[in-house]
Amino acid sequence: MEERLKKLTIAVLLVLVIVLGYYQIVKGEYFFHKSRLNYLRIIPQKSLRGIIYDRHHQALVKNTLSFQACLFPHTPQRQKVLSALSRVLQVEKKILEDNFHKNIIAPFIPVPVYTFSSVDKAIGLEEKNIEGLIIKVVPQREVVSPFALAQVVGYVQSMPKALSYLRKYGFKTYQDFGISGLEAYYDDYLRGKEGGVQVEVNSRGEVRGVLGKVKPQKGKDLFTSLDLRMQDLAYRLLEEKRQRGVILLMDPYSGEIMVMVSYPSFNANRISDAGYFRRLRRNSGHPFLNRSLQGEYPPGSVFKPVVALAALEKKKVSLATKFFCDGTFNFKGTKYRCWSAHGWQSLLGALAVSCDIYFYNLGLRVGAEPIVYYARMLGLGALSGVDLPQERRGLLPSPAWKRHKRHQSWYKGDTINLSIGQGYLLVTPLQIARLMSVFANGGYLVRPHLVSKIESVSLGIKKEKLHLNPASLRWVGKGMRFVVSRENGTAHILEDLGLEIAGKTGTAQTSSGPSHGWFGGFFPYHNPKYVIVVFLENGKSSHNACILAKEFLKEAKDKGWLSNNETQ
Amino acid sequence: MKLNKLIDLKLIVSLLGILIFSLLSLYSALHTQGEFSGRNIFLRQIIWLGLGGVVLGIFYLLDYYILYELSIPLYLLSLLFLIAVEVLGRIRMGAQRWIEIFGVTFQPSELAKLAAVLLLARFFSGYLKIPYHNRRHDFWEGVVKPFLPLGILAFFIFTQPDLGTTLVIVFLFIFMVFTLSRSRKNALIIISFIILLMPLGWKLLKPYQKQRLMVFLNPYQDPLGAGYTMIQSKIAVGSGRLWGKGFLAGTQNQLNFIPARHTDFIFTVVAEEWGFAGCLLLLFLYYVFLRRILAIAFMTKDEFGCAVSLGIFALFLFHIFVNIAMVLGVLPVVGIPLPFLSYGGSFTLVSFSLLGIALNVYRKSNYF
Repeated sequence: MEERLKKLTIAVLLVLVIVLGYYQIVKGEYFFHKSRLNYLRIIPQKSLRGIIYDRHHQALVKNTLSFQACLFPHTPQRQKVLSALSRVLQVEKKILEDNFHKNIIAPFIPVPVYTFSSVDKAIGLEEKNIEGLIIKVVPQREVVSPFALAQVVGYVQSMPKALSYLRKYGFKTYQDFGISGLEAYYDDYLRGKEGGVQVEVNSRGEVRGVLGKVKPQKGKDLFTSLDLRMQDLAYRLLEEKRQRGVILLMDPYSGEIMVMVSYPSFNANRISDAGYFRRLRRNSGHPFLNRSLQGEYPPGSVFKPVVALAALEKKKVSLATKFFCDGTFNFKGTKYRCWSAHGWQSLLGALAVSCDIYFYNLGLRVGAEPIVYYARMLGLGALSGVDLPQERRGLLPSPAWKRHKRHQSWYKGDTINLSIGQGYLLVTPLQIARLMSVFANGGYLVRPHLVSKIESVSLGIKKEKLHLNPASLRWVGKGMRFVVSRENGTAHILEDLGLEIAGKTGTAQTSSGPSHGWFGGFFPYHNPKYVIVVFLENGKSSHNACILAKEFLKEAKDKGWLSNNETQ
Repeated sequence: MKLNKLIDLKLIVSLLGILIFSLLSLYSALHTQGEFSGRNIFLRQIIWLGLGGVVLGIFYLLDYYILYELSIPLYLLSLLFLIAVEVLGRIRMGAQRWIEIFGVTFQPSELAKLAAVLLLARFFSGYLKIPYHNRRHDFWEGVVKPFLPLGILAFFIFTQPDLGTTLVIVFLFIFMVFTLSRSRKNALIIISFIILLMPLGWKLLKPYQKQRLMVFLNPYQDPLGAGYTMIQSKIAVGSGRLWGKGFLAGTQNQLNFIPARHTDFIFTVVAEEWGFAGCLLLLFLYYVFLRRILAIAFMTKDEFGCAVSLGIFALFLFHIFVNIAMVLGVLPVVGIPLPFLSYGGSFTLVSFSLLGIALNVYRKSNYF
């Protein structure tokens, strides 16, 4: 009996030894790994985003401090804290509750429920000494001129909706992500690297000790070619007139953009306010649209230099070739009008007075294909490659396009419309700026851009030499100079600025209300430094565009901003 | 007289080894945590061990035939306590397992273990005196007579509710019948009877007990609730690997992932901090310990001494196996402590008394 019971004891203990051996020896590494996962946690630390500067090293976007009301996920008095918060901050409790649920990352990381910048409120909250409430100081993105720069610089969001689907795969972060503008295009550079603290936690998720630390890395700074002073000025002028439109100022040689304003705009610093954001999205003026590269409009007469260039390149006309304008033009029973009766016109004169009938004749003589060919060469119908997201390419119609997309033949009437920049043709204001710079810089197609330097690395200038005869460029340029310099030129009011401006006006008819007003040009005519495009959406006429261009250039010139741009 | 005639030295050495493990593990489990520090459980256990030594001395020195006489009063006393607890529990609207005497809490179900061992020994020592071929098929003497009082005791413990102690009593009874009557027929009758009782027992279980048993089948069914302990204790044991994480370095225990780690789950501390090697050593000590008690049972020529020692052997064996198997997730979680390792006043005292009785039998065995 004793033997049997001894064997029983050994057997029983042996079972335990076998199970122990299985767990500790066979699967030991597995359980060891599991135990590490149990107690090791990483608390993410937000990195500072890079700063965006203008050409005079003036910050366009910076990081300022704001306050964040946080609480731990398992705070027992959560309801009390949230009620107190909603009283002091005057925010609906439901919003705080929603934020709380949205922002939970892990049980040991305080959850931010509301971000605010008022120091008084922060002090008020601290004085109340609410148990369970944590006030954190966090960097907040602040745009210096929130309206003037809104579409260009853009805005950021933490863990935006676009990334929230990654949550279920475990991707969680408090990092800010650029949503639009430069913030989005250069997000990888600006964002920096999230840091983290590796901590040891207990079963309740309470931190017991710090094991390691990775410092967050600040994002890289961007140096843009924008000029904040002129940007503000341009925005102010458009805002005073409450005129939807665009003002662009660009260096014709490098493609550096100095001014890019689109009106209406929005306050880039208020974008986290959900109510404000919703109102903006419903706004019929589409304030989020950066019209300079996302708006597609008929160019009207600003397109005429392209037609003139095509004619000269194809040698279809000489400078002496004249057509007669009596105000109407009959073609196959259809009457096309000119805005005035100009009499006999040569090429340069017709550019100066913007005679439609001359260009009807010219267009018919050159033909659609060459016009489309040179328009494409000057960058129409294609992306300019500007360093901003969601650029539109406009529409450059051609006989092939019409057959393919519209299943119709190309008629001579289409050519007539194309000759004066009407019909199917759609361009963005930035494409016009690019086109003008070809005449200014003697035949180079530049890539417009805003950022010239990231941290200390200069970005190269991209431009493409076009196969154009320098003489024909010069002649069309001279015609554009006549637009301003001649008494009867359509933009003669710009002459007394003394800036030697050359350019082209355009009044583009549109089916959606009053005509668009255009002015596109460059100056000084001898040795150009600037390309300017003023576009007024439904601005009635090109004259209004010229008036605005004049106001803008006059003030910029008077303040000396145009002469000393070489300081960079 | 030589010392080893008076006292079983191997038993004492293995006990001391186990107690060293106990102190190291308890210190490790309790030294940091705010949860327990206010009550200073570690110091309390040292006091309990001191008292245990005193109790051991008393039971070692007295004439153990007094226990033969005392077994019935002790049985009645523990029954009385159990009923008292039941009534108090009714009044306080909730489960109750302990009563307070002179400011010290005391678990009657632990006393019941002692009473059960002694009572069974009394019955079976009388039974052993009957010649073997006569007693073999005596169902009344061998099974029913000891079953009746123990069944009542087990029923009250079961309704406390204390599933662990109930199983201890049931096991003790089966073990005694098996080893002492050696009747297959009787054994079969008992086993089929217990199987018949099982559905009734299941009905009487509290919901949390049922959940524990269900979770045993699949711990991941409720990983943060009832299955949590099982998952975490497996991780603790496994992560110890061969040599362990070292004294005071077991993350599972130090960082509070194991509930009840100073009582029923104390073995996780040993396994995590001392690894497979430490566990083997501890199990070896337990083997020596059990083996010696078994030797004492067959050393003495006194029937009562033999029956008592066998009961003590069975009780410790069951506790050690069920507790460790439970920690390893081989058996469901029932509240059974690990002898001489777990914290707990009542069970410590009962364990030392039982050991004292075994040593007493050893001492007396030289006289028979």
